Amino acid sequence: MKFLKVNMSNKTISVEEVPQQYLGLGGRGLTSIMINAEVPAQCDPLGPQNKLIFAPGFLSGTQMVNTSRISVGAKSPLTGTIKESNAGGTIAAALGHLGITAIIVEGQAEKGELFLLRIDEKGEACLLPAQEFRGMRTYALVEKLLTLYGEKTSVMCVGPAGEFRMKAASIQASDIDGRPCRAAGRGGLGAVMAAKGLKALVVDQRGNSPDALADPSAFKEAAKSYAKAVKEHPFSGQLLPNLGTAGLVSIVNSMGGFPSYNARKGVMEGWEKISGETMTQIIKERGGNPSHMGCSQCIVHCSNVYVDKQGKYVTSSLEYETIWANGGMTGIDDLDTIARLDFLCDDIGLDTMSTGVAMGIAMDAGYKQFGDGPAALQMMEEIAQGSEFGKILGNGPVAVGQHFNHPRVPVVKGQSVAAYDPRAMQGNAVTYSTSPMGGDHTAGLVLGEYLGGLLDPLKAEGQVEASRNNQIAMAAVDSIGLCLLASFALATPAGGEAFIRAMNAKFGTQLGPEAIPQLGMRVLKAEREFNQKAGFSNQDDRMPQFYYKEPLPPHNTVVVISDEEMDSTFNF
Amino acid sequence: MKIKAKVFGILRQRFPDYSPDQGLELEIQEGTTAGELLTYLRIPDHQEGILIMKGRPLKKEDKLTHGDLVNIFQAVYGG
Repeated sequence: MKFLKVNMSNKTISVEEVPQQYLGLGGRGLTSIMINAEVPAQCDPLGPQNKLIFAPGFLSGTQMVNTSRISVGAKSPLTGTIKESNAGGTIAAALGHLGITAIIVEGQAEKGELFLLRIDEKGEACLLPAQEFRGMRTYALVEKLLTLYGEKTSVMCVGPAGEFRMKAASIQASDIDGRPCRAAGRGGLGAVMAAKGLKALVVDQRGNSPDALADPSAFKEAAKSYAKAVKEHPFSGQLLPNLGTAGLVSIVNSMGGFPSYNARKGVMEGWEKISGETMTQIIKERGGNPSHMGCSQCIVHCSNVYVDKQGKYVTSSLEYETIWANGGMTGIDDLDTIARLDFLCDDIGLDTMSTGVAMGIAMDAGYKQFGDGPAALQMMEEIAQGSEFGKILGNGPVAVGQHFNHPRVPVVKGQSVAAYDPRAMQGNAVTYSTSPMGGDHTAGLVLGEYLGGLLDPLKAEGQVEASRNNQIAMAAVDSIGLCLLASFALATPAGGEAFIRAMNAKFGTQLGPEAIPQLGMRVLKAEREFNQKAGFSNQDDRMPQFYYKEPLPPHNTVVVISDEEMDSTFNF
Repeated sequence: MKIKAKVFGILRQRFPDYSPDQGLELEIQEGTTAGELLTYLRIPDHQEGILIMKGRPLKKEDKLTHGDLVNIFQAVYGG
């Protein structure tokens, strides 16, 4: 239980015991509560007053399955709100093994300075000059760093997009195979990291000083029971290992909620060509891996390794949201092109979602035709080169909309929505509008409720409550370090019971099931409070106008959640 | 009555000769419900089969009619 505080202004590093007010927190709970308490809400996100916090979940590094998720928190240059951007890979488990609760990056290096933060297997940290890595793309960078520091090394880094301070810049995280293909994509935190003067975090995976568990044998038993619940759940145990998240392409199109051609239609023509079923078949035929382990402690294996016709690596992992943003929104129905765009985003250090949506807006504005794959690849290279237009694209959807004076910009608080059109799935209008993160699906997706027959996706009734409950649950899940895709077992009796048992065995507490929503509400309240101080009000919790006016085929519905209903989401 | 069903995801593994283009041409009793169709196709409850027709998820008790085209999925929760 220690904080590693890194001051980039004077290049000092200090190790501190976790102060009382942050004890028991991890992941998003820790980043958000600390940012709300310590970062001036009106500060420049790219200035010295902002803090960039890397926090593994409070179960990261334990035996609990699927807990290698890291939360990266800061004030976002994309949204101006508080931000938690979440990534998988190996670094959360590596930090957990070292007993590091958070790395807190403060201040700002002089212009032109660039550093690596290296943490060795004893947990000793130092800043090393990184001039030689300036401008480097992430795959080449991580390959070099693994050569220098050994294969048992976890990296989080920025690419050229971060160094250009682009608002869609990601922080890339290395996976099990040492590839920087996992991303804290959302909110432009790559720009914050680069602005601090930090090119990469380099963490030894061989640490052996984790925080003690209050009752190790009870924890082990509970973790085993939870793993069983994850395996027995049909989604995490069967569908995800076979099709990955790409399995959602067919079902969301069938529901008429797959935003296509910059959200002009709810079904993409030719979606079968970019479906999870097709992707899996292509990967198998070419000798790739459709059921890949990407993150430490993972038993779901939703990842994949996509290869070309010669069987050569293209990217990992091709995900639903990436396929949607770079395929659905752009009308590109070719998986090879989408896979290449995914690789380029990871390599340049860009959020695949903001980037794909930005390109879709450019096409909608007439810059290129929908479906023009080569044009999309060219746009990506413009971003990498930092050309004038590339900088606009790299700043995301709002910048592109302004450039073309185009009003159809599918964002909330500056961040693009995701692959579930809120006109066909009204609950997501509530989540996109009211989440303290801006447009965000992992903040509280409403989907299972429609398929289970609990809610009518096209009616307002019940949507606020569903969104509220899911936002609360996700704020807790993101604090635990648990992967969203292994979290659905929490809702099963056996899984929920086992998980509470594990938390109590970790902390030596007697918490009941209400502890999870209580944590979620505490986190959301802190995030809302920060946003209010930063100048946001209920008026910002709205979808863009076209969602209320422009019916989405095939259901031909608009968003029907009233402002009053939206404003009741955080009545707790 | 006759209906057509398209099957997605790993549920396809239950139908060895399944063709994605053709789907399943099925002859079933008048008034068969969505839930009964899943039973007829031997999709067990634990796989959480879902029928979607004309963009709408069907409830288990919803009745099918001659000429319907349904898509059959396993439930998904997010991605």
